[in-house]
Amino acid sequence: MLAVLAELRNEQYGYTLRKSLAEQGVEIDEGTLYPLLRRLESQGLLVSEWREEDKRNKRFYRISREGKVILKQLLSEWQSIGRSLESVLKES
Amino acid sequence: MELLDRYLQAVRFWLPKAQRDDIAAELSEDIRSQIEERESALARPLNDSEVAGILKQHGRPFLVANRFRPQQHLIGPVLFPIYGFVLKVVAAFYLLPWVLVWIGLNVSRAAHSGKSLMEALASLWTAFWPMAFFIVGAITVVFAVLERVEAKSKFLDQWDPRKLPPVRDPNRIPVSATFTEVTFNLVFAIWLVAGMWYQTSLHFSGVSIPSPRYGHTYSGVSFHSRPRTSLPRARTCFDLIGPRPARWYA
Repeated sequence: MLAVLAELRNEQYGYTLRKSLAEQGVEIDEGTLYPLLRRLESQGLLVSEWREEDKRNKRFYRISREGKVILKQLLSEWQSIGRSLESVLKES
Repeated sequence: MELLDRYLQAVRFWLPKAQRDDIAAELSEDIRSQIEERESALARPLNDSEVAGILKQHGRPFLVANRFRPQQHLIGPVLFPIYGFVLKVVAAFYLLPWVLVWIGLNVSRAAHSGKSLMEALASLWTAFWPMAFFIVGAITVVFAVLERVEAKSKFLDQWDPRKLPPVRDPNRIPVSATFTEVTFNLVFAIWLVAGMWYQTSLHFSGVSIPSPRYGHTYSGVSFHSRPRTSLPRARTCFDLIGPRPARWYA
């Protein structure tokens, strides 16, 4: 979810989003990705619109203003979990 | 592309109505992009089995559509253990006793009316299922309602540790054991008394019992008919000396 939000700082449609995430090592299959996109959109973290590209209608997603705020919070939370886990692993 | 259209149609069927067109269009776009990419890599159109492979990878239409729905359940994981417990208690303390009493009453009734034992058991089968289904159904409905109420009121969160029952003494004889013992003793006592009662009544009517086994069977199962008047008793006495031994051994 964090990866999806971060990746959608640049507008993309589903298929290219899936591919670019996979290239960076985050494989999300479409059965998970599309329901996730819809959930994030219903929570107001993403905005989407249908637009024509290469003679086909595609649905483009991008992060909303609220999404950016949440992304920032999630990132700092993620980093603090990472730090805690690291210190636990070092001790043991 | 006929295969793709058939796939999308099947997915659409299970999608929530409000988002049906939207989701189907997006899914179609995703699969088409995937097919086109493969086609440009192979530099030829895909055949049916290759398209089928891609669709198969996407998953069964029902499951694909299901992921777009909120998770639904009749009785959730929180209440389910209580639901299972109530069903077990009802089975052990209502359904099982019901069957035992039923067998007791009807085997003896069958012996009186000349029906075969198989007939009696067949009517047990037909009487038991509607009753059992009704009870299980009613409990399920009650829990389904509780599930909805619980989700709103969160009554399971309101509890007080001080109201928990005291710790059980491991040396104490459990109530259930005492209860079972008392019940069995009672049943045995009734059986004994009923047997003696019948033997007495048979002696009074001046009929000799043809065989010991006969008398035993009779006294064992027929205590329920005590309140009856002398007419059926007279009939049973007649039955005793009548030449109808077959049903006793059926």
